Amino acid sequence: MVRIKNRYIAVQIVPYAPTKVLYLNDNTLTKCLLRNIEKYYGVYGLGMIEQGFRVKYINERTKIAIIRCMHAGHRFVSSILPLITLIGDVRAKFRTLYIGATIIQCNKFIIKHQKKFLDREMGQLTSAKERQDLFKRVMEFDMDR
Amino acid sequence: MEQTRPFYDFCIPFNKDDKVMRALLNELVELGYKTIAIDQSFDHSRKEAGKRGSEMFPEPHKVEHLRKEFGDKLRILQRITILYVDVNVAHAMSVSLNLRKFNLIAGQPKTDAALTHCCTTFNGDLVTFDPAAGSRLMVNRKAYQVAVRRGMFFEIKYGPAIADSNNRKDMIKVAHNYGIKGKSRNIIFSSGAEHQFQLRGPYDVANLAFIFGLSEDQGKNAVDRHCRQLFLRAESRRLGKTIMFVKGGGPIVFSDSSDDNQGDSQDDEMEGCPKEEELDEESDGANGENNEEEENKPANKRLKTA
Amino acid sequence: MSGYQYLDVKLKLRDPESVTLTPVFLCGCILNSLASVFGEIGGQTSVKIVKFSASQQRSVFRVPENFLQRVRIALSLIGYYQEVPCHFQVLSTSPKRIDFEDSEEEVIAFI
Repeated sequence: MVRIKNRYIAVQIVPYAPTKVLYLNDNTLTKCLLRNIEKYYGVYGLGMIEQGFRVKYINERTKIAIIRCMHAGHRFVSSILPLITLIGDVRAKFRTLYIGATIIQCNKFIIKHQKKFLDREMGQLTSAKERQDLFKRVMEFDMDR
Repeated sequence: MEQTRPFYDFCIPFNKDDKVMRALLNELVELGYKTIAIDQSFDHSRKEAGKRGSEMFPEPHKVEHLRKEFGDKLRILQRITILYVDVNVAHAMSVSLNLRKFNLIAGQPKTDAALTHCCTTFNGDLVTFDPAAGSRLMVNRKAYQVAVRRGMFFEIKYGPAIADSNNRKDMIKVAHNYGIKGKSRNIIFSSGAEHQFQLRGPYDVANLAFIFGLSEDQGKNAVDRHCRQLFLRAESRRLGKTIMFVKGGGPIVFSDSSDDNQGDSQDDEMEGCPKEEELDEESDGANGENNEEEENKPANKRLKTA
Repeated sequence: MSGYQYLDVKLKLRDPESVTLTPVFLCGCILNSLASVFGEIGGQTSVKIVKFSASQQRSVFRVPENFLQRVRIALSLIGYYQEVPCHFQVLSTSPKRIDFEDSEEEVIAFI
């Protein structure tokens, strides 16, 4: 059995105007990325990347997303990430955190990253209720999108 | 054995207008194609399934005058593309007599089930797809491998890719899917050109392999060797079991290492020698058309040209 | 940087009267196709016209060697020149400079 190789790219979306919550869903992000690939690599890049391309996970609080793409064209994706300045209608930039071959490795990395983020945020909250709430929202993984 | 010469273009859509057809064929000659197939498409799903047993498939178009006109320069084959949605087509195909008049049979499945059927059991030679809506159908690995083992070929048309940039993307996507699922084995390129300005020279077409995710070698094979293989397969399907006469061009040289071009080179020198004939019986049950007398240069060796 | 390749290209048009054929337009057409097929990054190269003849509809281009493949693909994927169906036929490529073999009178030479 031959395995289809994928690459999982974990990115952080950094908006220009600092906001707590990012109103972005995976659909707009996918569209934005594909449009940029077409712009920079043309129909060739788009045709190559489009199959298997998917935004697997996006967290509005920590602004982290996981993009899945085929191994063959992942450099197309990773090379245009720094060039994007507008996602949906938010002016923002991407920060590539991690590129992995399996989603498990990506998850591990993100959990570590989220924990760091939580540590920072927790200090600013006062009530236990809010803390629990934040914890739940940050650490939830909704993978089947 | 029918002789065919490179290069091949197995999809020239039939046009009622003789003038357009001629212009197309002239352009093909100029670009260096030697073997082409005129395509006519047939939508099986549209016909009502009521009349079983009767002839479903159309007669091939009359192209005799074109054949005569281009006689030596261009070998014209005929091909039918069957669009279908379900497996009922298999029955209709098995009883059809008209279908035998076509050199090539291509299947264009419209649904996933049909696609799998097309790869695994379809009694044709070629799997093609609709460039306008093709990207929704993706062949899966299993079916692809079965198809390769059966010697089916997959077609990529470049004509639509020239006309429209949206089609271009779909083409690239489908072609890359073939690459992902089975290393782009058994792929042929053909034009599907509506008019003569959508035709491209064979080397340009072979070059397109780059954007379709094929290697350079595969690209060249896609306009040359694979097409020859496809043609041979189609002939063998059409004729069924037959007796073949193998005629040697020169004295038979018994050697382990096969020398490819000796047939050609010795033809001139050995003019005086009596031609040897040997009878090679492929199989005992000869059905239907037998006695295909064919002068045979070893089939696959010729392909090492270009 | 690697060397250059020279492409001898002939343009075939359905009705040649209805278009204006100038070196700049021709070059623009090719660059457009490059940009649409390979995008801004993948299609970024320097296509330069070395020779051009309006009467023969032929021209010689110079492209960087490692872009030859892409330029050839872009050339073969051009379907329209100023909305007229067309066909770019690559007559020859070579690493040396090519000249047209006949009729020099109307040739515009660059460089």
